[in-house]
Amino acid sequence: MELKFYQENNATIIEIIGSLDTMTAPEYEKQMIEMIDGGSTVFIADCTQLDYISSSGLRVLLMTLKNISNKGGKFILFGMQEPVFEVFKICRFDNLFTIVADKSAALQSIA
Amino acid sequence: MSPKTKQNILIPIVWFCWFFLLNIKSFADDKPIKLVLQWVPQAQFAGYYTARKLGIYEIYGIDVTIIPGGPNVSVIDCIKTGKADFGTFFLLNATKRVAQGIPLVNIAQVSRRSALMLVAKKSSSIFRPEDMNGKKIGIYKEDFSDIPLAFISNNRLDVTVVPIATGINIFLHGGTDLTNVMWYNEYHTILNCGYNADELTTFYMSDYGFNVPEDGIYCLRSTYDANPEACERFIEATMEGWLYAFQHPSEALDIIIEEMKAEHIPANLAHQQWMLARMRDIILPDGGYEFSTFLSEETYEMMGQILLKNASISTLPAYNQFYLPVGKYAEK
Amino acid sequence: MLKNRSLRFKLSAFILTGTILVAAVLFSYYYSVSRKLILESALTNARHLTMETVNSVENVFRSTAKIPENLVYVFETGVTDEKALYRFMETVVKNNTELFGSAIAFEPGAMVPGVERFAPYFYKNNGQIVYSNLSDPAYNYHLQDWYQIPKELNKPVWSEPYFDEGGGDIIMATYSVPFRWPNDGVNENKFRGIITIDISLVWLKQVFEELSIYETGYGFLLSQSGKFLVHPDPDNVMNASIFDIAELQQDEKLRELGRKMVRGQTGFMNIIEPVTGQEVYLCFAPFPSSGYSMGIVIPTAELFAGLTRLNRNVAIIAVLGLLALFGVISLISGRITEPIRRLSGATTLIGQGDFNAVLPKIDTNDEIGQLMRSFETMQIALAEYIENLKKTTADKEKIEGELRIAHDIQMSIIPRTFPPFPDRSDVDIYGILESAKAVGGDLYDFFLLDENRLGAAIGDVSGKGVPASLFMAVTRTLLRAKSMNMKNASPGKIVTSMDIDLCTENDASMFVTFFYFILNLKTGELEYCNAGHNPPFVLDEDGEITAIDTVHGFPLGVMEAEPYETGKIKIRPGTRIVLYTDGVTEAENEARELFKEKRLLETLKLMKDVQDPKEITLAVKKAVKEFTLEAEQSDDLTMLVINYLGGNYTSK
Repeated sequence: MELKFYQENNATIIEIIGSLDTMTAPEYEKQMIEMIDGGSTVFIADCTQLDYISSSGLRVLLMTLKNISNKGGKFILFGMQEPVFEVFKICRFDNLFTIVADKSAALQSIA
Repeated sequence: MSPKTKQNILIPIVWFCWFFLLNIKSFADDKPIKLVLQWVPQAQFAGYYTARKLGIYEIYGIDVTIIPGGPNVSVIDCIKTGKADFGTFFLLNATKRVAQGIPLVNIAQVSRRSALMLVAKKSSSIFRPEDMNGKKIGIYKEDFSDIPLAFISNNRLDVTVVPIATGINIFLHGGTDLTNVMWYNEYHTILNCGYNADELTTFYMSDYGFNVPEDGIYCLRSTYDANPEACERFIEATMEGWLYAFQHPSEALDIIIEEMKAEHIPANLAHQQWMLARMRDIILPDGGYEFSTFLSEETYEMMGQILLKNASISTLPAYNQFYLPVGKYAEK
Repeated sequence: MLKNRSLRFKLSAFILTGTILVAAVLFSYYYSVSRKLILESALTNARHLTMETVNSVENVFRSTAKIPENLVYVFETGVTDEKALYRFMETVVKNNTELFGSAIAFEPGAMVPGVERFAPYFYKNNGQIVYSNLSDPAYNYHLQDWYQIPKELNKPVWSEPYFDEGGGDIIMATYSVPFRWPNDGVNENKFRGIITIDISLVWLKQVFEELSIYETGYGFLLSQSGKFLVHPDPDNVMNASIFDIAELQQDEKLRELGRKMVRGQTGFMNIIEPVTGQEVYLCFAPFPSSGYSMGIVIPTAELFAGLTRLNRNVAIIAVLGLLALFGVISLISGRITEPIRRLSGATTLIGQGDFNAVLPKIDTNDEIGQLMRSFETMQIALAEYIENLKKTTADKEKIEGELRIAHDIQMSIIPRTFPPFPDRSDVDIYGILESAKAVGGDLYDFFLLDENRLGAAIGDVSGKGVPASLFMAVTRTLLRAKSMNMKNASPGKIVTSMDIDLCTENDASMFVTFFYFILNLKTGELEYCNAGHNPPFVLDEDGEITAIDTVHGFPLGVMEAEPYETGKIKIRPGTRIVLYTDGVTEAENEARELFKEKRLLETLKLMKDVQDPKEITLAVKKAVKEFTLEAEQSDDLTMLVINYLGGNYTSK
């Protein structure tokens, strides 16, 4: 897995590349905590390159969501591939997270 | 076991048997036989000395004493006076003596071919008989001179004859262009005075119609008549001696050298070795060991004509009177 | 060959070989030059010695030759009186001590008309001068060499040496000079005879014996015909010629030497000495007046004896020197390579695991010092690395220990005795939970709420390891507790209650997907609640497969939301309910493909007539294993299959 961070329209965009599973989740968790502690509150996760997510991945996404929500921020996901979205659907996370189709929709939703 | 050693053993056995066969007779004619040789001890007489040294004469039941020849010994005188019973002569010389009336008989013609030769230095430009014209030729005193003179006359050569008595020094010093020598003797001396064979031109008399053999055994007719059987044994034993000498040259040379030293004659091994080898060529010209002591009438007649022509004799004694075939080797 | 030898040996071997080669070249050069110089000097010395001898002997021959030459002169100028001649000759013999005798031999009639042979001869006998006439016809002096040869050659001649007539061992030679009778007016310059003198040559032997030629070298003298006149072997003297010796030895070179000598040549030759068989050098020169020729024999071994001795000493010094050199090289190369050997020892220790092995101290700044410092750096790096590795290994072991604990927790809290209710004929259950290496948080559970109701659940905790297994334990404990406390509560209520408890203080945001159902074994009524779990499959008694795909909410622990609802279906006896976690559908093969629901369904279709829950479970497991093959199991593989047989409950 690889994470890329960049700022766009006051939001921190996170590109999640590869698979988010038991092995890679701790690294994601560590980096996200650093970003959140650094003061960022608005995050948009670019899931276009996220190939696979396991329950561990779901957990760290959930943790991010909770942390950001606690600080009054926003966490939006977009560009999710079908298999990954299936996993979200099974555990109803599609209802929990704000999931939009693309980046412009994501940016719009934070405006 | 090699054939040679086999032979070495067989010979004494044969003699031993002979000894017993002849022993009884030998007591009957116990008279010692005295042989006089025409020159000092040398390999020319290896057969006689070997036969005596090895006791071959004894085995044949005869007691032989050898009187060495030399410059002061006249063989014919020894025989005439009875100092010796047998003597060796060149055929030519013996014929002359018989022609002079001495009743000698040839009982064995041991030598089978002429050893007489003329030697020239190639540096004198002599390569063929006709090259001798105008040259000086050294010719040995009378006994050796008949044939060279006949050669000169036959070839109608115009040469200066230098009579010589002592040897080849005059030839070596250049005092003569040619010299007559014996193949077994002086020819080798010339070679061993430092002349190589290829520096010399040789004329073997045998190649020019003068193949007159030399050494033979002679005695008075009366001696033969008195005991022909002893003569026979003497000759056969002598030929056994020659056989042994030719088969064992180094042993024979030792015997000869010993005899030479006893006579205070310088004993030159190389020279004696050469001489023995040439004697074999002369006595056994066809190789092998088939001895003959036969003198053919043709040879005798050929020799006689030379003497008559040279006027060395006036009449040739009859062949039958001159030669008596004695012993087993005299068969034709 | 050298491959396995030590550096020290190789160094020594190469240097020594080089040194020996250089030494050998030097020595060979020195030897050949020395040999040449010695030979040249020996040649010069031998030539001097030869010429000295020739000169001293020639003086005698020449002065002696003067006597008959003077006589001839006197004679030719008119001494014709017989008596005066005799007196003159007697005086000459008497006054010349070296003379043995003297003769005047005439041609026939030359002195006394009509007399064939006339040759007065005066000679010494016991100190007296004796007269004799050599006119004996048997002797015939006209045919003797001493007369005939000078006559034929018309010049004075020294004769071949001969033994004296007395029969003694005195070697004599005669010098003969032809003379002419000049003044009869008719036969001018006609050869008239020979004047001779005889001298003993015994003194020559002494001259040669006094020659000092190395140890065993000697001189010899040949006559004109090559006969030995003087020779160390008395048997050869006046008997054999050099050619006879050459013939006996079959030595062509010796014969060639003889030919050169009798021809009066001067030279130097290398031959084999016939008696000793040793190589010798031979210097030869003629006596011009007599034509005799002398030779000096120098044994090569003696000629080069000094050089040979020197060679031996040089060889000894060379061997000692090389030994010393070997020692020094050995020492130096030993000293140079010693740190390397020590380093080699130390590195062997390091290689065996002793990272604290002390490296040899090197102060030098050469290659070896550099090598040593490199090793030091490497040793430190290696030690650090190993230290890290140890720590890492320890950590790893710790983790593995934790995982083992997690696994133990997981396994200890799920029912694993099958069949669970052996006395019941209306239901049969089989379940598996196969932990991956990284233990997941899967769970299943089942229990009888009362005589007719079976509670069963399956769940999957997010994450892995100890936290997941603890969360799973909590979940299971909550399930049991809630179920027991609220025996008649619907699955929705139980689940809602569990969710509330699990959300409390859940900072790690752990959650568990959970499916819980209660089956009335009497009626076949099945109430269920799905909190974000994979929909279970139902194989009905006809073999038809359906998924219970209603999901009632988020996984437990995500957030407190609206209460979970309860779904209801009714199943008939012969229906099999297959619960599973994503460890089945997301099992991965080496190509990173997932097993997927599709394959699970296919497997279940094959099992549609199979009642035995164990057989169904193992068939699925087998299908998963055949799919993943060698790929490492990444998640827990958990299944729970309930076979509802129905009918009245009878205690077996």
